Amino acid sequence: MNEQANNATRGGLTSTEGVSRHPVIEFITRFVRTQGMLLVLLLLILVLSLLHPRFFSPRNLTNIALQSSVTAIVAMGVTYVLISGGIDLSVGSVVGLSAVLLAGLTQFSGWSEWSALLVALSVGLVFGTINGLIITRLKVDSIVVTLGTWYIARGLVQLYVGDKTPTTPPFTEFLGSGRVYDIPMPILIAVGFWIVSHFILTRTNLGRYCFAIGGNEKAARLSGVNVERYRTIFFIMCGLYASMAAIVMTGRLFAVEAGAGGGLEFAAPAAAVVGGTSLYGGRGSMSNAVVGALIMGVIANGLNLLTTSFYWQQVAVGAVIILAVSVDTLRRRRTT
Amino acid sequence: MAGAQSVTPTDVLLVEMRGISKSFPGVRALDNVDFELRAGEVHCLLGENGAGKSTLIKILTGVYSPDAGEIRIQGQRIPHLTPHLAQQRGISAIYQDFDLVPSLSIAENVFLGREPLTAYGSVNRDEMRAQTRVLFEGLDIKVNPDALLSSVGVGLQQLTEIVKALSRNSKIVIMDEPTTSLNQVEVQRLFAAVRALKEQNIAVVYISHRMQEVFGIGDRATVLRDGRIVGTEELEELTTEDLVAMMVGRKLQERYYKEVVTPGDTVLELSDITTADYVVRGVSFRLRRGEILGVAGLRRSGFKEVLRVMAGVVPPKTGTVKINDKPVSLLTPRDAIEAGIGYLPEDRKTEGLVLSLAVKNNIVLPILPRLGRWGLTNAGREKETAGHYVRDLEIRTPSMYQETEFLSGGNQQKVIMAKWLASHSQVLLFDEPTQGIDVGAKIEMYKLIARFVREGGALVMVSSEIAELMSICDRILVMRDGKIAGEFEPGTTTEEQVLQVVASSTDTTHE
Repeated sequence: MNEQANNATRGGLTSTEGVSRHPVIEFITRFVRTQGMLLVLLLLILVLSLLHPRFFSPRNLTNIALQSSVTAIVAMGVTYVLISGGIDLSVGSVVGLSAVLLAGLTQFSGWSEWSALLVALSVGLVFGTINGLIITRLKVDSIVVTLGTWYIARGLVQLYVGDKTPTTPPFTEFLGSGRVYDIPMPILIAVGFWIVSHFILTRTNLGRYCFAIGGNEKAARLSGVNVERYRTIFFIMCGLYASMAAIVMTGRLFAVEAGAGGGLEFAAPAAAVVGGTSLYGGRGSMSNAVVGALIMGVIANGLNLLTTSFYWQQVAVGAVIILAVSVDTLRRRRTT
Repeated sequence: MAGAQSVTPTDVLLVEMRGISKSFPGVRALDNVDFELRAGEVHCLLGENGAGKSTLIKILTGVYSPDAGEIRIQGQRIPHLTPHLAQQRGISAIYQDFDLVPSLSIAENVFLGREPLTAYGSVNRDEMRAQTRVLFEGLDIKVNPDALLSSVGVGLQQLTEIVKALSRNSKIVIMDEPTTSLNQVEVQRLFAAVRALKEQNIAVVYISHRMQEVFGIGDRATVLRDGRIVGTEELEELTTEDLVAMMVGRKLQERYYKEVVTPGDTVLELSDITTADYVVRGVSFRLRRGEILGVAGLRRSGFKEVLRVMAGVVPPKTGTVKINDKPVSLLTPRDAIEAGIGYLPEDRKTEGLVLSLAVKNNIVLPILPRLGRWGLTNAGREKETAGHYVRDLEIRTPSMYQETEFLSGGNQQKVIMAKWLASHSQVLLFDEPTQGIDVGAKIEMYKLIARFVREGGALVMVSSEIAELMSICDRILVMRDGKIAGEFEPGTTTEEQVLQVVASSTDTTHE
């Protein structure tokens, strides 16, 4: 409710301080500002449905959602960090390390399922804590720190598995490949994450502090918010989301190889930003992460159906990322 | 470089704007506005926030294009003015946040992007230095052109902006609130520079809320209200009261507001406070309920830092702070808030408010844990609390869900005040409470301050406007070199006496 009220007034008022523009441009920018990326997603679906007969089938659409779910979960974790004014690039390797440990410990070392799960989760916890503490206590830029931990985690993955490929432990198969009412589990899990994360962001003090810190760190501190503590918490949450996504991802695979999770370090923040969360902090939502992940999933799937080379998908996704960041930057420039 | 033809300064119209109108959806920002600038005049542009001053300036600098009306610059009609064209035609605007590069020297800043070249195509540094010196000398200022911009005071940085404008052969210089961050000495230097500009037949548009400055430097004034011209008058023929009345549309009895309150118990006591950087050295004072204490000083005298100590921003190295006779340790802003201290920083936008958050969310930010349970927000109680203060302080906003960045300066200040009232502060620390807000909103702010102390609160206020301190405060402390150099009671002192103690400190801004 509040969110809607916010959006309505924002859309109505921005034009009063804006530079005079053509009505069509005015119209478009206003939409982009409120529900723009959802429209882009729907538009993409429409265009691809017209271009390819098999695109708009329940099976294919389910497939897209399934393929986007892991990215969406990681992107929701990154959303906390982005809104609070940072970025986390380590997620790709954190997913990888959690996944190889989960599969490796059960297969090579004969660990019980539960202890392997706990280890996988603690990877996210440990890396999130390290990221958060270095960034807040030593006041190092988050992009540098998380790039460093991205390397470290990826190195640990290689050290642990080398060229071995541990197979997926049976109990994660249900999470990754099971179905409930014919809906794949990863989709249900992602939706669950969406509901819980949206609640955290909009109905808890933690969520409010996230927006406050990202909007203006100094003012938040002067209002009594323990900025360092909460920023660390957001990195920890981000790490935990990455580990949990790794469990789902592991369940979707037959075996985990050393490259697992690679690419998510860019795909996840990109999904959040493509969906409309600001790279500059202070603005965003969990729905943005979901919509962004779906947009990237739709593009990949659509280009795949149109039998274009895989590399064209990368080109398209890259273009979408640049477009989204440009829109975000323009929006920010106009409001400050 | 200045006017080659010999003309009487006031005859030549450098700018003529006729019938300018500009609308944004829902708002008529300018309605049939005429504005002209004569060569060699200082033309003050006045009006409350939202009156249309900045829209007019943005049209003159080519940022906005008007819906109707025509613009002539030096006699020539310009149908489509762009920022580039405006600069070419000699229009320069100097904003509060300068477009300068701190890591470059003064000369490099002046010629940034237009460096003079030698015959071989390299940057001619000697030429750059020499020209910079000459341009500054035109303003009667001696500088070292090689000094890094970051190493000189704000005053000189501003003058560098002006010289940069001169180096582009500007004929029209627009200054938007140029004295906001300057001390008294720097203001005098700026005024001298503005007078030098006049001698070079340059027209200056001077925007300021400070009446003293307007009368001190201006030749004519144009007053805008609700997007229309109220009048353009020679300042010699006007009094402050006339101008204020033109701006707010009603006669204001007074520019200040104060109630007589009998002080109660001591609520705050500082003993021998010294900070780690020795900006504050051995400061002690007491503050009683019902009291408004003013603190005056020049920049780096420690007068603002004392506030920051009490706000928990700069923890003291030695010394004690007592609230209601109990010692408190103020290590973080949270500690200060728990102790009942609310801090209203000088810079509302960068420190006081989270501009991207709604009015409601700014007001309840410090008390979220108090309003909800188990870490959950309580929408009902938030709405109730914020709604109460929005009504009580008459915060003008379309709704409490409006983002604070869209509020006027005065209303933003009220939101910060509401935030501290909501967290039941007993002591408010107010850094430049009325800076950059319009006359009408100032009075409202003074009334809120009066009400706060009448209801048992105590207030410490820092201001660089001595007149404001003299009119509002019960006592004034003057700080110098980190220590208290004098204490005054406005009733038994004159402004000049206070100023003397303020300004007698070693001036750190001169090179």
